[in-house]
Amino acid sequence: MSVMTDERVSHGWDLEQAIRTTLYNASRALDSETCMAFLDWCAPEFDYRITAYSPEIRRDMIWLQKDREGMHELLATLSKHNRDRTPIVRHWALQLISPVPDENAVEVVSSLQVYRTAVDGGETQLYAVGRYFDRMDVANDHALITSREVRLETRMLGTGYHIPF
Amino acid sequence: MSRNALQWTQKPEMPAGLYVDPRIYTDPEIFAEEKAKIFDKTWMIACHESEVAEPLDYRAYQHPGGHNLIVLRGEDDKIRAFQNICPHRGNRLIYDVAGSIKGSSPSGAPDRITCIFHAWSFDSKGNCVDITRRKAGYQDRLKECDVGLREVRCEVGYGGFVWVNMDDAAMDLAAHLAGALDDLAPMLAEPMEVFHYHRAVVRGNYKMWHDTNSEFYHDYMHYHNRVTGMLKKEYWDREYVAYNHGHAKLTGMTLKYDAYEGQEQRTLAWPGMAPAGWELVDLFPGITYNIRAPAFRLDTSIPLGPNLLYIEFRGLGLKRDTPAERAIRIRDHNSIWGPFGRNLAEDLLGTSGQGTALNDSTEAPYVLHGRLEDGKIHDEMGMRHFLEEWSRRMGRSSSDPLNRGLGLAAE
Ligand code: FES
Ligand SMILES: [Fe+2]
Repeated sequence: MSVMTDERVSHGWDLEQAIRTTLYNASRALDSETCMAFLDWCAPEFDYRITAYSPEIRRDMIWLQKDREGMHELLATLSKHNRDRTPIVRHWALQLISPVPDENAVEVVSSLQVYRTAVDGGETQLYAVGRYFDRMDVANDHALITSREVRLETRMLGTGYHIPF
Repeated sequence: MSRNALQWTQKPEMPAGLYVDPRIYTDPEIFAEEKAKIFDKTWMIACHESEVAEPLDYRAYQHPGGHNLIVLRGEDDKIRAFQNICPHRGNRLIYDVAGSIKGSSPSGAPDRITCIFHAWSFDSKGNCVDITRRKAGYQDRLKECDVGLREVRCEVGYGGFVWVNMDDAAMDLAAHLAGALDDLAPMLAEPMEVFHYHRAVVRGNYKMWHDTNSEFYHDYMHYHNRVTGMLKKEYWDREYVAYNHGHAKLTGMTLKYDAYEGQEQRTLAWPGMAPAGWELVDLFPGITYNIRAPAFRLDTSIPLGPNLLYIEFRGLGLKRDTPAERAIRIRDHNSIWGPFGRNLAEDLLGTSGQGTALNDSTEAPYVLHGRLEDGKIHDEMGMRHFLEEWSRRMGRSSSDPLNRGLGLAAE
């Protein structure tokens, strides 16, 4: 087992702080429906997908796939669509941070729970569970999401949802 | 002018057939009757052949008549359907929603369905091949040949879908379809493959969902359809064609996808169709073929009660797709029809709003099905044609299903 130097410990700490800050702000932007701000935490080459496995057809599925521009258009046109306005919150917990060898990048796995709270009466229900598989660019202790896979366990989403998880 | 309580309950000044008594959506007795007179008598789609691609693959199907079925591809490559119930003491035979009986199971040998309870086993043709300790328990009173599975009528076709019918005496599938899918033949000629499956649960009636699929007046609800469809002249030329047995088709058009921000014009086609073409056929009592090139969507309804509905959504591509082509089909399919797509959530929102509001059917004594526009796209003849078949099978008028005659105000 290697012993961490103070420098490595503090660098690890700074890195984790940077990752947390980005994940926090990105999910707050989506939760509060100030969705465009989500993209502030994404790199120019950002790539987003929602995936799930269907035991019914025994296949992996891609439920949504957008590059940065596509994500921008999706978020920009939200107000033109009729949609379920029940607010959701994304609760996530960092599970694993793996540096990508020889690159200023990390792969980050977080568990994800999405809750909905009814506007009328405030009842909260668990809406979806899954994981975020993020790849982040971490040059200069500043983290930007370069790709995100939202891997869902939950496949019953009621009428569906217009804002990506 | 708004209306008072009495005015609100008055029948519309229209001939019966142009309005509906919402009890057809909510009455438990009517729903029980629909199971017996409609779901147990008509052809339903259980799955697609690509879901049981290999011999001994199976797929479970929750039949809206209240039965659990197994679709199983035999060792002889023939697809059959059975009730998923053990003839011994009624245990469910297969618990998983999909899989293969190729390998051995904890209680039985390979290539067999073995009931986990007392280990009776069955081959892929539904024959009972082993009653455990038969001689000791039944002597010669019962033999394997007496206790085969209940086979359900099954046909594969019209795009490789697996159709089942609980009624052994029903007309065959082609007669039931009455030509409704004939115009789609070039689009259904090549082998297809399912790439997407999800369900939605809606607190509404299955007929409400079929209505939503059978009328396009609600395109006002979809920003996407307003800009890619309604602004084109040919949109207004689309016409309904009615077929016997309650089916209806809307003639096709080509959409202008690049009018929607962030959506490039569609370039990949579907066999027999132009890129960005759109074809739609609604089949009684709850199936919709919906092809927006380059992707195919199939809806199947599984009503669990008068006001509770599962809708299954499948996305399909061609079996011969290259990975790049498949990726395009998936992306285009999901941009409007996936669980995070633009249009599907809006349609489901409309139907669930209707289901919620009409849950107490006295809230609105009548709803309208009365648009008459020469069968053009905003005509509501698709819904009316469906209800004519419904009335014929049920022996009830959809405008007066409980024989109220004079309407609520007179009761
Ligand atoms: S219930 Fe199936 S073997 Fe007894
Ligand atoms: Fe729609």
